[in-house]
Amino acid sequence: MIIREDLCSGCLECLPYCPMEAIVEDAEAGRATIIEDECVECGVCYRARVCAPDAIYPQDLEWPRTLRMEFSDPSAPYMSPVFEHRVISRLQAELREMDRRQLLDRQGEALTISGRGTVEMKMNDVMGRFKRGRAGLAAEVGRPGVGARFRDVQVVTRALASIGVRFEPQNPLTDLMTDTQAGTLREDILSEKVLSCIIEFDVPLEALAGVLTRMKEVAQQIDTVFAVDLISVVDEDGSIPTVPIAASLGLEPSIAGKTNVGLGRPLASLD
Amino acid sequence: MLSLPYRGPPAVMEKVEKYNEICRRHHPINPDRPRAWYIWVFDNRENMQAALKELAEAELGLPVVVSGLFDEVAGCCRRAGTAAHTVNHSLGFWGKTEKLPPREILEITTMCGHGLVAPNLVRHLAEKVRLDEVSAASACQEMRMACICDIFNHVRAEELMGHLVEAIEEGRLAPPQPSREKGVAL
Repeated sequence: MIIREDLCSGCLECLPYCPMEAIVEDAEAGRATIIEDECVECGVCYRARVCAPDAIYPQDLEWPRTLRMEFSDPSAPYMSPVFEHRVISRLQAELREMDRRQLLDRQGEALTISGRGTVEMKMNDVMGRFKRGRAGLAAEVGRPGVGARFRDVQVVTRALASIGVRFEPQNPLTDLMTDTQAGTLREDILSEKVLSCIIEFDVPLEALAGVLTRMKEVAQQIDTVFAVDLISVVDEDGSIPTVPIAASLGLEPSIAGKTNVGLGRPLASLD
Repeated sequence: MLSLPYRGPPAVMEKVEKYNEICRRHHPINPDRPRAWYIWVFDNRENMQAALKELAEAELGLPVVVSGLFDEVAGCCRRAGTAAHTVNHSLGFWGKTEKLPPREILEITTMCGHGLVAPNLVRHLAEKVRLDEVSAASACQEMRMACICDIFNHVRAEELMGHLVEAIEEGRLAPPQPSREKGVAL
């Protein structure tokens, strides 16, 4: 995103809208400006319609900057060549033909699967992706609201790969790996910054404690935060097998979160 | 409460329309902004449970996810004739947590899971509420607009805004200090 200097009136009303604090005042020029390297192309400033002279301008993006939009703007379709095979619907194909401004103007009217992650457990009743005896895990790197460079994401993926974690193949992040066994990402994307990026995988219940311990350790080695999600199929007696394992490590699973209420049909096998 | 898919063949979309119709009937707080992910926000258990019961009875076959207190959602499921299938717990935020905004702000910004509601916007609007320049309701509607999925609970945000304004008045939070220097963020 850029601010057109010939149009900006210098009112600075746009400054607070940026989740990354990338919009600042250029006191010398008497106007607002965007720090390009901090901007994650989420589109919030543009959609806010806060700029009376319409100076906030969504420029066309080139690889690898396109990843910023794909991971940070939930309404953005896959646009990057690396995701070519993931153009899965006519809708996404239509969206790819639009220019950036048209895309932003859709304002979520046509949300697609964004770069940030998959539908994880939201359709588990019909997809059966998470099975009994296993725990789903997600590290949402950069969330909440701190943002992340892929360099930090790689620190986490490498640490996880080193203990045998296999990453979710449907997650766009896996497409960006040059070596999925080692958790190594493409060199040309490491400096790109995104609002957040989800590392998704699942492990047998007996491996959960070790994986969480490794995640705790690696959290100290990055320059951002990650939100940790723990996914489990509910047992027939209503118990949740992952909770006591997390508790044994001194972790406190949240008392609120997402529940798939089992209304999807046909139900998928969980064995 | 949300349902996927957001696009599909006509037979599926008919079911999605039915899902929307049922949810709308039970007074979600966002009836005016239907979005493609079909997220409906309820501000009380009774309405959500009534919607869930009707959805279960309609046997649409669409996956439905409810966000809320696990115990309460499990109870609502039982009374609606279904059961929790899969759950997603948060284990909190790990890493450089000193980079996070104060708790009073985080409670509001995290209502948009995609992180599109900026902490500085919350601060900025809280200051305007404190100075009686805007109402808490208007401020929360402004925040809501940033959340393109419209999962942001603006009714809850209004309650939290009260705590935030109190914290600012008691000096527990720094007021907004817009940068006047090039290259220095807020």
